[in-house]
This record gives sequence, C-alpha cells and structure tokens, in this order.
Amino acid sequence: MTFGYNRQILRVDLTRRKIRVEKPPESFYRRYFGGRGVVTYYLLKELGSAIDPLGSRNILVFAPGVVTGAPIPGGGRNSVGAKSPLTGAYGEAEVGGFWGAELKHAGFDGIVMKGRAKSPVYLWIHDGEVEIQDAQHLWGLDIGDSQEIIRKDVGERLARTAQIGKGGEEMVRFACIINDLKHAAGRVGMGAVMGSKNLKAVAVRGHGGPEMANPEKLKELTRWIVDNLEEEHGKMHEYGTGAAMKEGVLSGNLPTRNFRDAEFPDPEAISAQAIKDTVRIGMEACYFCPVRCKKVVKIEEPYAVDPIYGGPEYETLAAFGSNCGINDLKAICKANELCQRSTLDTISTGNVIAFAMECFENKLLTKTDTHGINLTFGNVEAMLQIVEMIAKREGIGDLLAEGTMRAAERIGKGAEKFAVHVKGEEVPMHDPRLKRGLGLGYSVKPTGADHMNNLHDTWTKKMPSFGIVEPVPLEDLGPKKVRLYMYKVNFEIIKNCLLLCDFVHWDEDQIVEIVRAVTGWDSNLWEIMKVSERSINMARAFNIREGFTRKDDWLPDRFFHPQTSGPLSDTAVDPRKLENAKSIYYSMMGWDQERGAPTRAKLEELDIPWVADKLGLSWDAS
Amino acid sequence: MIQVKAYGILKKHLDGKDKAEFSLERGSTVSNLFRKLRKTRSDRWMVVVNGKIATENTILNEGDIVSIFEAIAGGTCTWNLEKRKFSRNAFLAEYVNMVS
Repeated sequence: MTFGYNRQILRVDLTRRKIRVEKPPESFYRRYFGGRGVVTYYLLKELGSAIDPLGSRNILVFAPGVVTGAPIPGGGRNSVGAKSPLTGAYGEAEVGGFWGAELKHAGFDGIVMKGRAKSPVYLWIHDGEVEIQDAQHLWGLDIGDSQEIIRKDVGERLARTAQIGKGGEEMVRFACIINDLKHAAGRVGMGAVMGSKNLKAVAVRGHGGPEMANPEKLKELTRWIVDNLEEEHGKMHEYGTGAAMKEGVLSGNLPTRNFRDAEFPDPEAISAQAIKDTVRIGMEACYFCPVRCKKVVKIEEPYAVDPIYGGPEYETLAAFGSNCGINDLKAICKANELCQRSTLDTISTGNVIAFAMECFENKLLTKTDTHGINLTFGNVEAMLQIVEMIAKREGIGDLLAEGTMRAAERIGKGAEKFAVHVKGEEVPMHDPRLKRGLGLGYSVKPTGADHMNNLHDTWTKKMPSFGIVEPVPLEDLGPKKVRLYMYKVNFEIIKNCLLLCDFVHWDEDQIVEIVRAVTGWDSNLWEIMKVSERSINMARAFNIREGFTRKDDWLPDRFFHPQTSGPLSDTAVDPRKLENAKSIYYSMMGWDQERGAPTRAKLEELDIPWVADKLGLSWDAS
Repeated sequence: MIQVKAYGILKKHLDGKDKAEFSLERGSTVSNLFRKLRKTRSDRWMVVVNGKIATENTILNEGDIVSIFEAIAGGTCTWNLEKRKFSRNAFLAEYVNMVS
C-alpha cells in the first residue's frame, strides 16, 4: 500500500502516438520525491547531450510531487521540465492552479512526452484513461477559446488544462505553459518545447487519487493556516504580490528602465493597492488554498482586459511597468492579459522589450528596424504593440522572440551591455546590487537568473534552526553569506520537489509533518534536505554535460555598475567578490573549481552514482 | 537633530507618525538609532540614509534623514514581524494605517 502517489508515470510517444504506463518502485519516489527530482532524473537518463531543444529528441516532463493533490494549502502544483530553448541548459518551471492536483487525482504522478506529433494534438486524461486527440481546430487560438472548445469536445466542463497559445506555437524561446488560463509555468521556454512537439494542451479530469497516510494530521495543518491566516498571510491575502512598490523605489530594488535607473514617478500607481482600488474584481485561490492571493482584474476601456486571464503579479507589474518606464496600470494589465492569451513569460517579455527600448534610445535600433515604432521608454502603445508582435513573431517581434541574449548578438554594436540576462534567461525584478546573495544565486542557479527559492538578503539574514544564529549583513558576499545562501537554497528547493507553494509559509517542521502525513514515511528534515540537494546536483550535472562551465556562472555587466541615481547610485556588485563567492560555494557544495562540476564522491554520497557515470567521473578525477 | 521617516507598519515606532526628530550622541550609528526606536529590532528592517542604502554601522550626522521600512518578499512587505496574534479589528486598524 502506498500513500501520496499512484505509482504510475505516463509515457507518451507523440511521433508514434503510443502511450504506456511506467510503474516505478517506492524507492524512486523516496529518492526523488517528484518535481525537479523527477525532471532531472528523466532528462539525465533519456536525453543525449547537445540535442536541439526545439527538435523532436527533446522530452517534456510534467511532474507534480508526492504531496501534490493532498488536501493541504499550496499542494496543487507541478513542475514542467525540458532542455531549455532559451538557455540551452536545464529547463524547469513550476506552476500553481489546479492542474497538478487533478493529474494526481486522475491516477498519474507525471507525464514524460517524447517525439513530435505530425499535426497538432492534445492529450485528454481522465480517471486513468488517456487519449491523443486532434487539435488542428485549436491551433492558433487564444487559450481561453481553446479551453472552452476542449471542454465541449470531451464533455467535461471541469476539465483542467495546461496549454500553449500563439507564443508557444510560434516557439518564442520564452513561451510558457499556462494552467487553468492564469497560472504560468513561466520561465525558460517550456511552452516553446510544447509547441515544437505540436502539443496544444493536456486536459485532465480525475475523481480518485492516492490515499493519505494520516488525513487527520493534514486537517490539523490546514487548520493552522486558516487560524493564523491574518497573522501569517494577511497581506498576501489582501493584496497578493506587488504591494510594496514604494518600498521598492526607496531601496532601489524596483527595476527601472532596463535596470539602469532608480527614479520612477508615482510607483504606487502600479501597485497591488492601486489594482485593488481600481480594476480588481476579486481574488482567487489555487487548489485547497485559503491564502487566495491571485488577483482578477477586469477593464473595459481604453483596453478590454478579460478577467478569465486573472491579473498581474509583482514581476509583471515591474517588468512591463517600471522596467519599461511605464506607470500606466491599465496598459500593464493589458500586457499581462496578452501574454496569458498567447502564453508568453511576462518577466522575459517585459525585460526583452526594456532591452529593445534602451537599444532604441542608443540608436542601436532605429525606426527602420521597428517598422516605424517609436520604441522609447515610457511609450505605452509601443510596448503593447511589441508584445503582440513577439507572440506572432512579426517584424522586430521575431528578433525579440529569440530572447535578449540572441537579440543582442544579432544587433551587435555593443548591444550586449544592455542585455540583462544570465545564461540567456532574462533577469527577474529583484536587483543584486541590493541583494548580493541573490546575485550569487542568479549566477549559479541551473536555469539562469531565477529569483524563486533564492536568497533574498533583505528578507533572510539568519536561519537559527539551521545553525545560522547571527544575522549576515546585506552587503556581505563572503563565506557567511555563501553559507546562508547554500543552506537556504538547499532547503527551499524541496518545494520544487514536493511541490509546495512559496507563498504558503510552511516552516521546515511543518513541511516534514506534511511529508510524513501524506506518505507515511518516517521522514525528517535531514532526509528532505538531501532530496533537495540531490536535485540541485542533478540539475548541475545536466548543465555540466551540456558543456556549461565556471565562466557561465556570471552576472550581466549592468550589475557591476551603480544605478544612475537613488539608493544604489554609489554601490554595485564587485566582480572579484562574486568570483570568490563562487569558489567558496563550489567548495561547500562538493563541486570542483574548474567547472563547478559535482565530484564523484559528492554524487556517491547523494546515492546517485549513475549521474557520476553519465558525466564520466572517476574516483581519481574527484 | 536627525529626521526619521517611517513607512507602512513601521510608523508605529514613531507613535503612528510619518516622521519624527531625534537627537543622538556624536558618532552614533544606525544601530544606536534602532535601539532608541525600540528595544529589539527585526532583521527585516531596511534603512536608507540621505537617499542611500545604509547598514547598521553607518554613522549618523547632524541633519541626516533616515528612512525605515520593511523588507520586501514577493514584492509585498511582511505583514507582521512579531508573529502577534491580533483580532480582526486590530488587523483592520493596521491595514488602514498601511494604505493611508
């Protein structure tokens, strides 16, 4: 008898239209838990190195975790992974909503897709049954329209969908996959991989699912969240993300005009408070979650914004707002909606437009390149036009759809200095000139510039229960900060394996209690941190196999220079300190100094010698 | 005198006001100022002196303007740092303070 998982992974060969079910042993689940653990497992086992991420040999893995679908707040999530077409490195994004839980309830713990369908298809999974359906009639449609048709086609009005829109179909390198019309597996182009496979959607409905080992304990844990909602999650419940725009300007953390400036008039005009007061019609929750932090906005003019696509998060407000020099809230909401319709990652889309705006202001792009669009910072109509052009790969949109790194290479003339990305992934809306540990994280994280489950130095200065009892100063980038970063991330990545939401503030003891109550295992904190560390090492190993090395762990040039004014105008990241922090981090992680590659000893210690074999690591070389 | 400006929930340390003035001994640091504001401070306070990010060791001089506010997570400030239980009424009072 197993608890928490189904012991069924769905294998779909889209080229041959073949479906089979794999039944991994319990040891598989206990060693990898799900999410990133499972994604890295399949990518390392089944991909050769140097394959084309948009070719048929890439695989696309949908992976909930062992606690997904359990009746607990934050338990409705799934990861999606593949080799990234944006970075060429390990690709993974996590997403909320209901789809992940629904997949578990339909009898599956994950889906591994390979090959490429000859013509557009979608997958229909319902209570253990799986069908590949024709999707020619859905290709090109916004996801709101295609979801409606899919639900009619399958005769199930509550079918949950993970879909791509035009951006994914056109293989925009930062296209995302969207669950339930409004929850994005946003980053590093998983939607482009889905598009490359001619897969429009995966629709799911399930009424069963695994049993829980200790349902009473789960009720108790949920009751704790409800009873302490105001204290622990009050502001998220009231506003969602984006309620600290003024503080962002005060501290220099709000990216402004492509991370160049600090002065931004009236930041509160694009805040979650302003949204609540003007365009918000409600708040919605993900599966089983009382925090209910998802905004829903509706606008009629000057732009019609359809509430079925939710509303903008902080990242989106800053990416299309301050980072493009725009403080028109309605326009930002429209940009968000356009991205949802056509499944574009809002962080990368906003960032690549800001990059283009800076190139335009510096005459590296001209009106000939932009087909007459005056692409200056603050130009609302230009921003909205470019979002649509990226989704359709029209005009300059085709160049920008390649992502900032490739666009800068093609523009040349020194455009690279305006390109704010790490390994090709556009930087999210947190500035490493303020948060130095976060900058180390941007540098070394396997997917590129990733702010989730990273160290936010302003927020976490010590972790007493992990033995870090003295606060580490904000500006520190020495061994103490590296240790803080490593412990924080080695713990937090468990949320990407189990999968749990970062915005439900379970502490480490509660997470252990959740694992025990769902699975019945005698787990402890040590075990779950080892699962997390295992997945970090497997993702690192994937990148090492792809040829990534020490020099790729770096920040864009912009962060080595101060902002033009404001709180961070006389400080920047010191490249020597960053290089030193990397050395310390590699040593602490058990990685070599030359490439940052895990040693054979480290991989043996983590009980994954097969990963060392994949890298050809001998004991001698360790 | 040193002028202190507080934002959001931290206004409570200035008796609910936006700003207040303090006199400190010569050579006092941000850390000394925090001790004056309350006995124990949270690690999640942010401090800006004369418009520039400062640390606890930054020395304060006559005429300096010090801004204090909470750290940011998910683009949203922490709601309650002391893990106090509070009633619905107290919650609303804090909330009104926050957005006013």
